[in-house]
Amino acid sequence: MSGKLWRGALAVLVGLAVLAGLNWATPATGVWNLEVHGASDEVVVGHRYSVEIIQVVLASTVTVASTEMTTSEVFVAVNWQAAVHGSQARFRAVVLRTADGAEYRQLSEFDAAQLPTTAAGFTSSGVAVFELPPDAVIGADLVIGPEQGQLQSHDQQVVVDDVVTAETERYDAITLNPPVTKVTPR
Amino acid sequence: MNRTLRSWLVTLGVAGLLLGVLAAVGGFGRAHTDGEQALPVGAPIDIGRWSVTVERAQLVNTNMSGAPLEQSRVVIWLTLTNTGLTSGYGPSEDAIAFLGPTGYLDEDAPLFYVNDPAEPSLIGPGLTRERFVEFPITDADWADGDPVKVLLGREQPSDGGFSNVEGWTVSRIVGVVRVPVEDRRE
Repeated sequence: MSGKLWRGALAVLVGLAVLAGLNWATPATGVWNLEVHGASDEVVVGHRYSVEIIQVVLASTVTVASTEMTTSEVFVAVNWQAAVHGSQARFRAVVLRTADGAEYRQLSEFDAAQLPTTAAGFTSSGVAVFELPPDAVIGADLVIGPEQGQLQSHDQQVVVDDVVTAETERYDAITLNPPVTKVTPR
Repeated sequence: MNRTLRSWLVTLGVAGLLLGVLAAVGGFGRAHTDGEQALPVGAPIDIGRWSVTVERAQLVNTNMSGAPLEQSRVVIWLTLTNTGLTSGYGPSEDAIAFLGPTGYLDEDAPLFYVNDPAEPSLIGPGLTRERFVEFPITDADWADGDPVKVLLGREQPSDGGFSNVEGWTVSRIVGVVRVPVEDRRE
Protein backbone atom coordinates (compact mmCIF):
# COMPACT_ATOMS: atom_id res chain seq x y z
CA MET A 1 0.00 0.00 0.00
CA SER A 2 1.35 3.42 -0.84
CA GLY A 3 2.20 6.03 1.81
CA LYS A 4 -0.54 8.32 0.51
CA LEU A 5 -3.16 5.65 1.07
CA TRP A 6 -1.88 4.99 4.59
CA ARG A 7 -2.07 8.68 5.42
CA GLY A 8 -5.65 8.83 4.12
CA ALA A 9 -6.69 5.81 6.17
CA LEU A 10 -5.01 7.28 9.26
CA ALA A 11 -6.86 10.59 8.77
CA VAL A 12 -10.19 8.72 8.58
CA LEU A 13 -9.38 6.76 11.74
CA VAL A 14 -8.35 9.92 13.61
CA GLY A 15 -11.59 11.58 12.48
CA LEU A 16 -13.66 8.66 13.72
CA ALA A 17 -11.80 8.69 17.03
CA VAL A 18 -12.50 12.43 17.46
CA LEU A 19 -16.22 11.86 16.74
CA ALA A 20 -16.36 8.95 19.21
CA GLY A 21 -14.66 11.12 21.83
CA LEU A 22 -17.12 13.97 21.31
CA ASN A 23 -20.03 11.56 21.54
CA TRP A 24 -18.66 10.14 24.77
CA ALA A 25 -17.92 13.52 26.32
CA THR A 26 -21.26 15.20 25.45
CA PRO A 27 -23.74 14.93 28.34
CA ALA A 28 -27.13 13.43 27.45
CA THR A 29 -29.19 16.54 28.13
CA GLY A 30 -32.77 16.15 26.93
CA VAL A 31 -35.51 18.70 27.56
CA TRP A 32 -36.26 17.38 31.04
CA ASN A 33 -32.73 16.72 32.23
CA LEU A 34 -31.75 20.31 32.88
CA GLU A 35 -32.82 20.57 36.47
CA VAL A 36 -31.94 22.72 39.42
CA HIS A 37 -32.90 21.26 42.82
CA GLY A 38 -33.42 22.76 46.24
CA ALA A 39 -35.06 22.10 49.58
CA SER A 40 -38.54 23.32 50.50
CA ASP A 41 -37.20 25.70 53.15
CA GLU A 42 -34.82 27.56 50.84
CA VAL A 43 -34.97 29.76 47.77
CA VAL A 44 -34.25 27.64 44.71
CA VAL A 45 -32.52 29.82 42.13
CA GLY A 46 -33.06 28.96 38.49
CA HIS A 47 -31.65 30.88 35.57
CA ARG A 48 -35.00 32.57 34.77
CA TYR A 49 -36.69 32.69 38.17
CA SER A 50 -36.20 31.83 41.82
CA VAL A 51 -38.79 29.67 43.57
CA GLU A 52 -39.78 29.67 47.21
CA ILE A 53 -42.41 27.57 48.99
CA ILE A 54 -44.64 29.62 51.29
CA GLN A 55 -46.91 26.90 52.68
CA VAL A 56 -48.20 23.44 51.78
CA VAL A 57 -51.44 21.96 53.12
CA LEU A 58 -53.64 18.96 52.41
CA ALA A 59 -57.43 19.25 52.11
CA SER A 60 -60.53 17.35 51.04
CA THR A 61 -62.40 20.41 49.77
CA VAL A 62 -60.87 23.44 48.07
CA THR A 63 -62.70 26.63 47.13
CA VAL A 64 -61.45 29.45 44.95
CA ALA A 65 -63.68 32.22 43.64
CA SER A 66 -66.95 30.44 42.71
CA THR A 67 -65.36 27.01 42.25
CA GLU A 68 -65.58 24.37 44.97
CA MET A 69 -64.11 20.91 44.44
CA THR A 70 -64.23 17.88 46.71
CA THR A 71 -62.20 14.71 46.50
CA SER A 72 -62.24 11.28 48.08
CA GLU A 73 -58.45 11.29 47.56
CA VAL A 74 -56.51 14.33 48.77
CA PHE A 75 -55.86 17.80 47.42
CA VAL A 76 -52.34 19.14 47.88
CA ALA A 77 -52.34 22.94 47.86
CA VAL A 78 -48.88 24.41 47.36
CA ASN A 79 -48.61 28.14 48.05
CA TRP A 80 -45.43 29.25 46.29
CA GLN A 81 -43.82 32.28 44.76
CA ALA A 82 -41.48 32.96 41.90
CA ALA A 83 -39.24 35.98 41.50
CA VAL A 84 -38.62 36.36 37.78
CA HIS A 85 -35.19 37.68 36.83
CA GLY A 86 -34.86 36.32 33.32
CA SER A 87 -37.39 36.56 30.51
CA GLN A 88 -41.15 36.46 31.13
CA ALA A 89 -42.34 33.18 32.69
CA ARG A 90 -45.76 31.55 32.30
CA PHE A 91 -45.63 28.70 34.86
CA ARG A 92 -47.96 26.43 32.89
CA ALA A 93 -46.01 23.19 33.40
CA VAL A 94 -46.32 22.83 37.17
CA VAL A 95 -46.50 19.28 38.49
CA LEU A 96 -46.17 17.39 41.74
CA ARG A 97 -43.83 14.44 41.24
CA THR A 98 -44.17 11.53 43.64
CA ALA A 99 -41.46 9.14 44.79
CA ASP A 100 -42.37 6.58 42.10
CA GLY A 101 -41.99 9.14 39.31
CA ALA A 102 -45.70 9.78 38.72
CA GLU A 103 -46.44 13.40 37.75
CA TYR A 104 -49.66 15.12 38.79
CA ARG A 105 -50.45 18.32 36.89
CA GLN A 106 -51.96 21.28 38.70
CA LEU A 107 -55.74 21.32 38.37
CA SER A 108 -57.06 23.85 35.88
CA GLU A 109 -60.26 24.34 37.90
CA PHE A 110 -58.20 26.38 40.35
CA ASP A 111 -56.52 28.60 37.78
CA ALA A 112 -57.93 31.65 39.58
CA ALA A 113 -55.36 30.99 42.32
CA GLN A 114 -52.43 30.00 40.12
CA LEU A 115 -49.37 32.08 39.37
CA PRO A 116 -50.00 34.37 36.40
CA THR A 117 -47.60 35.10 33.57
CA THR A 118 -44.94 37.21 35.22
CA ALA A 119 -42.45 39.60 33.67
CA ALA A 120 -38.84 40.02 34.70
CA GLY A 121 -38.44 42.17 37.80
CA PHE A 122 -41.69 40.99 39.37
CA THR A 123 -42.53 38.36 41.98
CA SER A 124 -45.81 36.43 41.82
CA SER A 125 -47.28 34.24 44.52
CA GLY A 126 -50.21 31.87 44.17
CA VAL A 127 -51.42 28.35 44.83
CA ALA A 128 -51.11 25.22 42.71
CA VAL A 129 -53.59 22.47 43.61
CA PHE A 130 -53.04 18.80 42.81
CA GLU A 131 -55.20 15.72 43.41
CA LEU A 132 -53.31 12.61 44.55
CA PRO A 133 -53.97 9.28 46.22
CA PRO A 134 -53.35 9.89 49.96
CA ASP A 135 -50.66 7.20 50.16
CA ALA A 136 -48.61 8.87 47.41
CA VAL A 137 -48.19 12.39 48.79
CA ILE A 138 -45.34 12.05 51.29
CA GLY A 139 -42.03 13.06 49.74
CA ALA A 140 -43.56 14.59 46.62
CA ASP A 141 -41.50 17.22 44.78
CA LEU A 142 -42.80 20.40 43.15
CA VAL A 143 -41.53 20.60 39.57
CA ILE A 144 -41.83 23.82 37.56
CA GLY A 145 -41.02 22.71 34.06
CA PRO A 146 -40.19 24.61 30.89
CA GLU A 147 -42.90 25.38 28.38
CA GLN A 148 -42.74 22.45 26.00
CA GLY A 149 -43.17 23.46 22.40
CA GLN A 150 -42.80 21.68 19.11
CA LEU A 151 -39.13 22.52 18.86
CA GLN A 152 -36.44 21.31 21.17
CA SER A 153 -36.09 23.49 24.23
CA HIS A 154 -33.14 23.67 26.58
CA ASP A 155 -35.00 25.68 29.16
CA GLN A 156 -34.43 24.68 32.73
CA GLN A 157 -36.85 23.16 35.20
CA VAL A 158 -36.82 24.00 38.87
CA VAL A 159 -37.45 21.22 41.38
CA VAL A 160 -38.27 21.79 45.03
CA ASP A 161 -37.68 18.53 46.86
CA ASP A 162 -39.99 17.00 49.46
CA VAL A 163 -42.63 19.73 49.64
CA VAL A 164 -45.04 17.29 51.33
CA THR A 165 -43.91 15.66 54.55
CA ALA A 166 -45.54 13.63 57.31
CA GLU A 167 -45.91 16.93 59.21
CA THR A 168 -47.86 18.68 56.44
CA GLU A 169 -51.11 19.93 57.95
CA ARG A 170 -54.43 18.52 56.75
CA TYR A 171 -57.73 20.40 56.69
CA ASP A 172 -61.26 19.40 55.74
CA ALA A 173 -61.75 22.53 53.64
CA ILE A 174 -59.66 25.50 52.58
CA THR A 175 -60.37 28.66 50.59
CA LEU A 176 -57.73 30.08 48.28
CA ASN A 177 -57.02 33.72 47.52
CA PRO A 178 -56.21 35.12 44.08
CA PRO A 179 -52.51 35.36 43.15
CA VAL A 180 -50.49 38.46 43.91
CA THR A 181 -47.80 40.08 41.77
CA LYS A 182 -45.41 42.70 43.14
CA VAL A 183 -42.23 44.39 42.05
CA THR A 184 -39.33 42.28 43.29
CA PRO A 185 -37.53 44.21 46.04
CA ARG A 186 -33.93 44.99 45.21
CA MET B 1 -21.94 -31.38 -12.70
CA ASN B 2 -21.56 -28.39 -14.91
CA ARG B 3 -21.09 -24.91 -13.52
CA THR B 4 -24.54 -23.55 -14.50
CA LEU B 5 -26.37 -26.45 -12.84
CA ARG B 6 -24.27 -26.08 -9.71
CA SER B 7 -24.99 -22.35 -9.39
CA TRP B 8 -28.73 -23.04 -9.84
CA LEU B 9 -28.62 -25.71 -7.13
CA VAL B 10 -26.75 -23.38 -4.75
CA THR B 11 -29.28 -20.61 -5.41
CA LEU B 12 -32.22 -22.93 -4.81
CA GLY B 13 -30.56 -24.30 -1.68
CA VAL B 14 -30.07 -20.80 -0.23
CA ALA B 15 -33.63 -19.84 -1.14
CA GLY B 16 -34.95 -23.02 0.49
CA LEU B 17 -32.92 -22.31 3.61
CA LEU B 18 -34.32 -18.76 3.84
CA LEU B 19 -37.88 -20.05 3.37
CA GLY B 20 -37.26 -22.66 6.06
CA VAL B 21 -36.06 -19.98 8.51
CA LEU B 22 -39.08 -17.82 7.59
CA ALA B 23 -41.44 -20.75 8.22
CA ALA B 24 -39.70 -21.62 11.48
CA VAL B 25 -40.30 -18.11 12.90
CA GLY B 26 -43.96 -18.21 11.88
CA GLY B 27 -43.73 -16.14 8.74
CA PHE B 28 -46.31 -18.26 6.96
CA GLY B 29 -48.76 -18.30 9.85
CA ARG B 30 -52.07 -16.52 9.78
CA ALA B 31 -51.67 -12.76 9.84
CA HIS B 32 -52.04 -11.37 13.37
CA THR B 33 -55.20 -9.29 12.89
CA ASP B 34 -56.82 -8.76 16.25
CA GLY B 35 -58.49 -5.52 15.14
CA GLU B 36 -62.00 -6.83 15.51
CA GLN B 37 -61.50 -8.83 18.67
CA ALA B 38 -64.72 -8.59 20.71
CA LEU B 39 -64.17 -7.11 24.15
CA PRO B 40 -66.61 -7.30 27.07
CA VAL B 41 -68.86 -4.56 28.39
CA GLY B 42 -68.26 -3.77 32.06
CA ALA B 43 -64.73 -5.15 32.30
CA PRO B 44 -61.51 -3.10 32.45
CA ILE B 45 -59.46 -3.16 29.25
CA ASP B 46 -55.79 -2.21 29.34
CA ILE B 47 -54.81 0.09 26.48
CA GLY B 48 -51.41 1.23 27.71
CA ARG B 49 -51.56 4.32 29.89
CA TRP B 50 -55.30 3.92 30.53
CA SER B 51 -57.57 1.15 31.66
CA VAL B 52 -60.99 1.62 30.10
CA THR B 53 -64.25 0.05 31.22
CA VAL B 54 -67.15 0.66 28.87
CA GLU B 55 -70.14 0.65 31.24
CA ARG B 56 -73.31 1.43 29.29
CA ALA B 57 -74.83 3.54 26.52
CA GLN B 58 -78.08 5.46 26.29
CA LEU B 59 -80.08 7.34 23.68
CA VAL B 60 -81.50 10.51 25.20
CA ASN B 61 -83.42 13.56 24.07
CA THR B 62 -83.22 15.42 27.37
CA ASN B 63 -80.18 16.65 29.24
CA MET B 64 -79.12 15.49 32.71
CA SER B 65 -81.52 17.91 34.38
CA GLY B 66 -84.47 16.83 32.22
CA ALA B 67 -84.60 19.77 29.81
CA PRO B 68 -85.42 18.78 26.20
CA LEU B 69 -82.57 18.76 23.67
CA GLU B 70 -82.80 20.11 20.13
CA GLN B 71 -81.19 16.94 18.82
CA SER B 72 -81.09 13.45 20.35
CA ARG B 73 -77.76 12.19 21.67
CA VAL B 74 -76.07 8.94 22.39
CA VAL B 75 -74.31 8.96 25.76
CA ILE B 76 -71.60 6.39 26.56
CA TRP B 77 -70.49 5.91 30.15
CA LEU B 78 -66.92 4.87 30.88
CA THR B 79 -64.74 4.18 33.90
CA LEU B 80 -61.21 5.39 33.29
CA THR B 81 -58.17 4.47 35.36
CA ASN B 82 -54.96 6.35 34.70
CA THR B 83 -52.32 3.61 34.65
CA GLY B 84 -49.62 5.91 33.26
CA LEU B 85 -47.22 8.28 34.98
CA THR B 86 -48.76 11.62 33.97
CA SER B 87 -52.15 13.24 34.49
CA GLY B 88 -54.61 13.28 31.62
CA TYR B 89 -58.27 13.70 30.74
CA GLY B 90 -58.66 10.33 29.02
CA PRO B 91 -57.36 8.30 26.10
CA SER B 92 -56.32 10.18 22.98
CA GLU B 93 -58.46 10.24 19.85
CA ASP B 94 -56.11 7.68 18.32
CA ALA B 95 -56.66 5.25 21.19
CA ILE B 96 -60.46 5.39 21.44
CA ALA B 97 -63.17 5.89 18.83
CA PHE B 98 -66.93 5.60 18.93
CA LEU B 99 -69.04 4.20 16.09
CA GLY B 100 -72.80 4.19 15.54
CA PRO B 101 -74.86 2.43 12.87
CA THR B 102 -73.70 4.86 10.17
CA GLY B 103 -70.06 5.17 11.12
CA TYR B 104 -67.87 7.27 13.38
CA LEU B 105 -69.72 9.38 15.96
CA ASP B 106 -66.71 11.51 16.83
CA GLU B 107 -65.15 13.69 14.19
CA ASP B 108 -62.71 15.31 16.60
CA ALA B 109 -60.96 14.23 19.77
CA PRO B 110 -63.55 12.99 22.27
CA LEU B 111 -64.33 15.18 25.26
CA PHE B 112 -64.65 13.25 28.49
CA TYR B 113 -67.32 14.91 30.60
CA VAL B 114 -67.54 14.81 34.37
CA ASN B 115 -71.02 14.17 35.78
CA ASP B 116 -70.21 15.63 39.20
CA PRO B 117 -69.42 19.37 38.93
CA ALA B 118 -67.43 19.19 42.20
CA GLU B 119 -64.97 16.71 40.73
CA PRO B 120 -61.79 17.78 38.90
CA SER B 121 -61.66 16.90 35.21
CA LEU B 122 -57.99 15.90 35.23
CA ILE B 123 -57.27 12.29 36.21
CA GLY B 124 -53.94 11.73 37.93
CA PRO B 125 -51.86 8.54 37.84
CA GLY B 126 -53.49 5.75 39.85
CA LEU B 127 -56.88 7.47 40.01
CA THR B 128 -60.13 5.96 38.69
CA ARG B 129 -62.97 8.18 37.54
CA GLU B 130 -66.35 7.83 35.84
CA ARG B 131 -66.69 9.86 32.66
CA PHE B 132 -69.15 10.09 29.80
CA VAL B 133 -68.94 11.08 26.17
CA GLU B 134 -71.92 12.17 24.11
CA PHE B 135 -72.61 12.72 20.44
CA PRO B 136 -75.59 14.19 18.58
CA ILE B 137 -77.46 11.66 16.42
CA THR B 138 -80.19 11.62 13.83
CA ASP B 139 -83.13 9.67 15.24
CA ALA B 140 -83.85 7.94 11.92
CA ASP B 141 -80.31 6.55 11.80
CA TRP B 142 -80.72 4.55 14.97
CA ALA B 143 -82.80 1.36 14.70
CA ASP B 144 -83.86 -0.72 17.69
CA GLY B 145 -81.01 -2.92 18.89
CA ASP B 146 -78.21 -1.04 17.17
CA PRO B 147 -75.17 -1.07 19.49
CA VAL B 148 -72.49 1.53 19.95
CA LYS B 149 -69.08 0.20 19.03
CA VAL B 150 -66.11 1.45 21.05
CA LEU B 151 -62.87 0.84 19.20
CA LEU B 152 -59.80 0.69 21.44
CA GLY B 153 -56.16 0.95 20.42
CA ARG B 154 -53.07 0.32 22.50
CA GLU B 155 -50.83 3.32 23.10
CA GLN B 156 -47.07 3.14 23.48
CA PRO B 157 -44.55 5.89 24.20
CA SER B 158 -42.89 7.65 21.31
CA ASP B 159 -39.72 9.71 21.69
CA GLY B 160 -41.00 12.42 19.36
CA GLY B 161 -38.28 11.93 16.76
CA PHE B 162 -36.70 15.17 15.61
CA SER B 163 -39.11 17.38 17.56
CA ASN B 164 -37.90 15.82 20.84
CA VAL B 165 -41.43 16.22 22.22
CA GLU B 166 -42.35 12.95 23.82
CA GLY B 167 -45.76 11.57 23.04
CA TRP B 168 -47.77 8.46 22.50
CA THR B 169 -48.65 6.52 19.41
CA VAL B 170 -51.14 3.73 18.91
CA SER B 171 -49.27 0.54 18.11
CA ARG B 172 -52.20 -1.79 17.45
CA ILE B 173 -55.96 -2.18 17.74
CA VAL B 174 -56.92 -3.93 20.97
CA GLY B 175 -60.49 -4.69 19.97
CA VAL B 176 -64.08 -3.52 19.89
CA VAL B 177 -66.64 -3.28 22.68
CA ARG B 178 -70.21 -3.57 21.36
CA VAL B 179 -72.40 -1.82 23.88
CA PRO B 180 -76.18 -2.35 23.89
CA VAL B 181 -77.95 1.00 23.80
CA GLU B 182 -80.76 1.74 26.21
CA ASP B 183 -83.33 3.96 24.47
CA ARG B 184 -84.41 6.62 26.97
CA ARG B 185 -85.88 9.03 24.46
CA GLU B 186 -89.22 10.42 25.61
